Amino acid sequence: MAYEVFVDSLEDLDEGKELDLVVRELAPGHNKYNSHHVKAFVYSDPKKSSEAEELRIRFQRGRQHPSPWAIKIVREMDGFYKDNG
Amino acid sequence: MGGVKDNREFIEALEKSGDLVRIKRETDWDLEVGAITRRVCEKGAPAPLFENIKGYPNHRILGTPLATQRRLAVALGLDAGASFKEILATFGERKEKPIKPVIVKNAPCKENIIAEKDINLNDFPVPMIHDGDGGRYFSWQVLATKDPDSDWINFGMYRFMILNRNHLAGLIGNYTHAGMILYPKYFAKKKSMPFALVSTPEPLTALVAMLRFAPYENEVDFAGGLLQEPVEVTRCETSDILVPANAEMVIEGEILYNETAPEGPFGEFTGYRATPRQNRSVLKVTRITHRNAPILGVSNMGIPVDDSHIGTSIGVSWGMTKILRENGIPITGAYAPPQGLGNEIAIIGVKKKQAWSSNIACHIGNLVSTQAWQPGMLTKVFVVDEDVDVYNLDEVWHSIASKLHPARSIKIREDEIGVKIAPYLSYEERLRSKGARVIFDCTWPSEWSDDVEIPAKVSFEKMYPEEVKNRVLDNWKKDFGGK
Repeated sequence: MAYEVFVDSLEDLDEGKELDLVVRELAPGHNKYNSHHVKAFVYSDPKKSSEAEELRIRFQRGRQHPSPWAIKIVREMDGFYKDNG
Repeated sequence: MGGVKDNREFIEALEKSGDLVRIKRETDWDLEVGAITRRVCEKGAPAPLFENIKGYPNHRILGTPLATQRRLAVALGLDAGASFKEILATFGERKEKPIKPVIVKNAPCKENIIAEKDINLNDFPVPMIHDGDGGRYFSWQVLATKDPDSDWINFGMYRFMILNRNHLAGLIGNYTHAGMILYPKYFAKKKSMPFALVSTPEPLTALVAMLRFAPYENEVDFAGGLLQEPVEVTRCETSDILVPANAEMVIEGEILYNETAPEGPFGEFTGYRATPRQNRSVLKVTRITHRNAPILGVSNMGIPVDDSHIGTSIGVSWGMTKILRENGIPITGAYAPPQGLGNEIAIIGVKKKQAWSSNIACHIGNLVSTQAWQPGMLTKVFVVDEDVDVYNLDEVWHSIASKLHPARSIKIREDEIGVKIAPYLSYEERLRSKGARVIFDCTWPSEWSDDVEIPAKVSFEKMYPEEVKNRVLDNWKKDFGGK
């Protein structure tokens, strides 16, 4: 499975830290582009983790970063951001 | 003859007028439908009806339902070749006579009812419209929300992105009635707001959802006025919101008061993808009803002309016409051309000799700014003399080229409200909603005399005696074969 994440800059993707991200899935089919709220580790060099899956990166207005990274999803969160209540 | 009262009747009417093509080969919801509809907008081509969508048998997509002046004319029940001036007159006359809706039983939109446990938004061919958008977007629908303190049901057209099988994310701006008036009433009580997302109603209900009305005015009454008969409505399954009975699909649920999710980016009506991805409203879906073999309407916003430009052009043009007349301005016409986003450029014709001020252009500029679809738009106002047809952009260009003094005819207003979506604003200006406006006075100065200072216009109309013109016109067909 490949995923994609939108970021302001690559600095948002801090390698070695568990990150809170909303990624979207890219596998072909009806569920393509569905969003997932996850805790995950990311790797700029996909070879750094054999368990990781492909992560493509886009910037906030949709421009695609040329090189794919990798993502290891630790767990999927329930819901999105509880920040309004 | 009134407007068309059903999306399927609209498709038949468009086919009859030559404004629709059926695409029977397999097309992919993932970018191909988007690429076709984008090119349709840029070419002014007929509306495509996609009848064979990859992975979605028994579903169809109607692309760009109102993206041309011809299709708007058909929706209003006029001849497809009606001029903008004719369409505007019909629109204005009907809009001033709203008609209340009627509640009906056996609504077509309830031919199929999907319970909460079975809901999957991905079961519908919602397209990925532009490469790099945040997700699959519903792009031709009406968000219906109800005031908890009155019978007011607000219709607005906003974009909604599929998050997962039963959640959407949406941009409901705090300048809209739903975002500015209704949502805060629920939010203050820590309550989620019921909604109905009406996908692909008849085109005039979609049109009114794009337009600007006063708070507590029911848009559906104005749709009835445009139709010249009541819109048939039905009550939602999960709330007391009334929705058009013959809509293709109704998605019901709640806008959550305590949850946000990343939404966007999305190719917007400005022709750019300017608004970044941010945390925005989350909509939980609890019921879907739809017609048999539903037809999903798809708009494709971007470089003009798309559905949003046509819709706002007619609404803003009428709004400007009305307010200028009500204020006693001797106008010959008011036009917000779709090529100017329908909401950013205003062209006003004025009988300057009848105006009470030589600086009437400034007053016009102030008045029309109140008719923008949202504050901070209609930022470029061109005022032309009465000899210019405001609906003819060739004539307007000539007026700008020949009459606009590059220094004294341009009035700049700084420190105005700006809209975050405007591509020309800096990042700092967007954050602070700071903008500017400019008025281009393309009229001859009032103090110039006809005999000495105002140059003679070199045109067929102005340069020749009536007798000569009549002789030329009488022989034109013989000389030029009707060209």
